[in-house]
Amino acid sequence: MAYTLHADVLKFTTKEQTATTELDDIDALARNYRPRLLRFVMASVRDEELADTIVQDTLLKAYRNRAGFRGECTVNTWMTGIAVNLIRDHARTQKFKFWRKAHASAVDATDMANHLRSSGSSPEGALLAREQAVQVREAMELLSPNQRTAFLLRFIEEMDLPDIADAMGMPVNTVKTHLHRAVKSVRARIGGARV
Amino acid sequence: MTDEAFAELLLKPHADTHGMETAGDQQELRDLQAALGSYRRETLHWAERRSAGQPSLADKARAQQRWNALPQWALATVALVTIVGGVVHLASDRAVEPTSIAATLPAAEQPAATDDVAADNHLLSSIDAELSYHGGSPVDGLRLRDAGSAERTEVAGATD
Repeated sequence: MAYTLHADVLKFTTKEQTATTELDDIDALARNYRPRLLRFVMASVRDEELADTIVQDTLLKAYRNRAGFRGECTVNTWMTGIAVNLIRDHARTQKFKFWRKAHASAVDATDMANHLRSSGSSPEGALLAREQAVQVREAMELLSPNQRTAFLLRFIEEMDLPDIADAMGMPVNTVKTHLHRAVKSVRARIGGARV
Repeated sequence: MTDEAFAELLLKPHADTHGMETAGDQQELRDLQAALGSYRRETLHWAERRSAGQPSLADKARAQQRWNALPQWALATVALVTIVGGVVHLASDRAVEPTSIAATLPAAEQPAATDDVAADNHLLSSIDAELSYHGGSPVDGLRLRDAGSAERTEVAGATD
C-alpha cells in the first residue's frame, strides 16, 4: 500500500516536472502543440489569419502562466482549454466582426480543400479522401459552437470525455449531450449525402 | 442504431459491428470513420505545413514578459516612495520638541501679536482715563461757594 502510494506520488511528480520543463521552452511548446492547436482553432473559427493569431496567443498565454500549471491534466488538455477560452472571448468581444469575417471567409475556407494534400495512394483515393474531408468540414459548419467544439475534441483530436469537460469547462454529461446532438447532425448530413 | 451507441463506436476503427442491426448501419459507421480519418490526416498535414512557416515566439515571449513586469516595477516603486515618505514624515514629527513650538512660529506673526496687545492696552488706558475724574466738582462752576461766603460776610457786618 505504502509502496503503491509512493509510486503514484513519484509518477505524478515526474509527470509534473516533465510538463514544467516542456513549458519552459516556448519554441518546444510551439513545435509540439502548434499544429494540433491550429487544426482545432481553424476548424472552430474558419479563418486562417484569425486562427494563427489565436494559436499564437494560446502559446504565449500558456508560457506566461506556466507556473500555474499543476499537472492535474496533460499539457495538451490545458492548452486546448486556453484555446477554447480565447475562441470564446474573441467571439464574445467581436461578435459582429467575427461572424461577418467567418462568413466572408467561408468561401475561402472551402478552398482549404485545395490546400489539403493529395494523400491517397491513387488519384481516385486522393480525390475520395479530399471529398470526405470536405464533407466532414461542411457537416461541422452546421453545428452550434459548443457542439462543434465537443465534436472536434472527441473525434478529431481524439480526447477523452473528462479531458474535453476540463477543456470546455463544463460537466461531462453536458459534453455528452453536445456530442450526441453533434453526431446526430453529422450523421444526417453525411448519411444524407451518401444516400 | 442510437446516436449514443454510434458515437461510442466511431472512435474504434476495429469495433465489433456484428451486433449491429443492419448492414446499412455497418456501412454508415465505416463511411463516417473513413471520412473522419481523412479529415484528421488532411487537416493535420495542412496545419503542420502552415506551422512550419511561422516565426519563433521566443522574442515575443520575452517582450511580453518585460511589459508584464513593468506594472509590477511601477507598483513596487510607488510602494517604496510611500513607505520612505511616511518614515521621513514620522521622523520629522518626532524631532520637533513641544518647548520649541513657539520658536517655530513664523517671525512675521510675532510683531503683529505685540502690536495688538499694545493697541489693546492703549485703548484700556484711554477708557480708564476718561472714567477717572481729576478736576473739581461740577458744582464749583455755579460759584455757589462764593455766594455763600459773601452772605456770611454781610451777616457778620450787620451783627457787628
